[in-house]
Amino acid sequence: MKIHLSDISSALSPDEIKIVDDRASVERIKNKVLNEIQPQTHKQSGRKLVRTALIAAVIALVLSTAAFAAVTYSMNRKEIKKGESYESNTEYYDEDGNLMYRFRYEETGKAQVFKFSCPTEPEKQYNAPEFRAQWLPSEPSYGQGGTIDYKNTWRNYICDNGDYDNEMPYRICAYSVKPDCRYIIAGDTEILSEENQGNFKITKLTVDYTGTALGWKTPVSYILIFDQERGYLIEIAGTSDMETLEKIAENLEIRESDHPQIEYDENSESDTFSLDLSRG
Amino acid sequence: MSSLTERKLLEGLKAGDVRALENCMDKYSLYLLAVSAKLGSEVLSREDREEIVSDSFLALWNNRDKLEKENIKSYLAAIVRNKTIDALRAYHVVLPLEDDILILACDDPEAETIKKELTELTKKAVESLPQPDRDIFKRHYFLYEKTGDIAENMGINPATVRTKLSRGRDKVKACLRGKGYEYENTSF
Repeated sequence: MKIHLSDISSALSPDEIKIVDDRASVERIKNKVLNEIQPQTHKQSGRKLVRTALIAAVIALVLSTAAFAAVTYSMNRKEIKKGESYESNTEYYDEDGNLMYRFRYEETGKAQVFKFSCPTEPEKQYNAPEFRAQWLPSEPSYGQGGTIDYKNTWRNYICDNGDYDNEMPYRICAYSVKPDCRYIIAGDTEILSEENQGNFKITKLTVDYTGTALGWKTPVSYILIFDQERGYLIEIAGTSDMETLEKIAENLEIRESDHPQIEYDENSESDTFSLDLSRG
Repeated sequence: MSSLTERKLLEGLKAGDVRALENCMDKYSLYLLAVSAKLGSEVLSREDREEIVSDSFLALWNNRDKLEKENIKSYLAAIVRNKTIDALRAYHVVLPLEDDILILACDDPEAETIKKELTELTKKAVESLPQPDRDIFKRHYFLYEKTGDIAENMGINPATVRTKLSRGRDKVKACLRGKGYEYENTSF
């Protein structure tokens, strides 16, 4: 049997190779892959209704929060105006702690930068949040594997990524924030409301990507629910109208899970723990 | 399995958590693009390489249920390498290597099974090589880097590179022989 040594060397990937920091390529790869793995087709109207009614009643009940419990975490928003710049860094380390390479994102243009801090020592360390959606406007495309019984399954991520037309009707994510980390929503943002409800800080905004190279046809709406006691950030976002996202929020059950925040990459440090929906 | 991070990524992928896939793409895309560029930079366009890397992540996602204890980075790199070589073949480009043929004294009714075992044994043998021998072997037989280029890039004599490659091949042969693989003829 004739064998090529090069054929049986396919598992010998080199540890070190000269890397070119081409973030645009990475974004294109991510967008292509994420679009490919979505089997669902779904379209939403572009209605833009804004309701300022309280939405945290259900959430507060499920979390069993004490009325006016200690506010430990804070979320501060800074608007980056057109022409101003912001940057974030992600560094990757090898097993010995040596810096392997660094991504530096530098953007100029409008954005909202949410920075989290923890001015007072938390009374306890909370596990990561998880949620159960009791109402969704459409079947989710994916969540955390298998058939998605979203009403009865606790999870930290779910979405309907829509069709292949750069629309995502909804995406729900639950995070535990880290102090000094930032959450950046890039684009032409409009803050619709910011309000405190007990320990929850609720921010509603829209981002208009229409007419940009991203090709979104519908503005993206966000509801950010920040639990200032536990440091939980619940993000409900999508190209659905705000009224639909609010209905999702009203029917969302959130609780503390039995495990800490999953850190997939312990060999990296980033000052930005999530980027906006447009980044895939 | 190389680290806790890899284990968590693997668990996330197997659970169908798309954030694990996103994390893999954040973490490994540039590395995989570099692998593809190294193999086919003069022929393949940037779009070709991005497509190869995208398809490799899709293969990872579509086969996530079958993943067992793979090192994700190596798993992806192997896919990218094979897809890059396939793409080069489509352009009628063949990457030549010296001393690349091994003739085993066995039939191949289960060629894929044998090849998989040979791949594992080769990896084991090469990982046991001291540095820089290990890097040199990987550069030559994984990345198809020519001995002259390796010598230039690593700042060593080409004759030294060839000597170290020869030692590596001896190590691989010894490892295969230890598992019962005999040679009718060894061309390397």
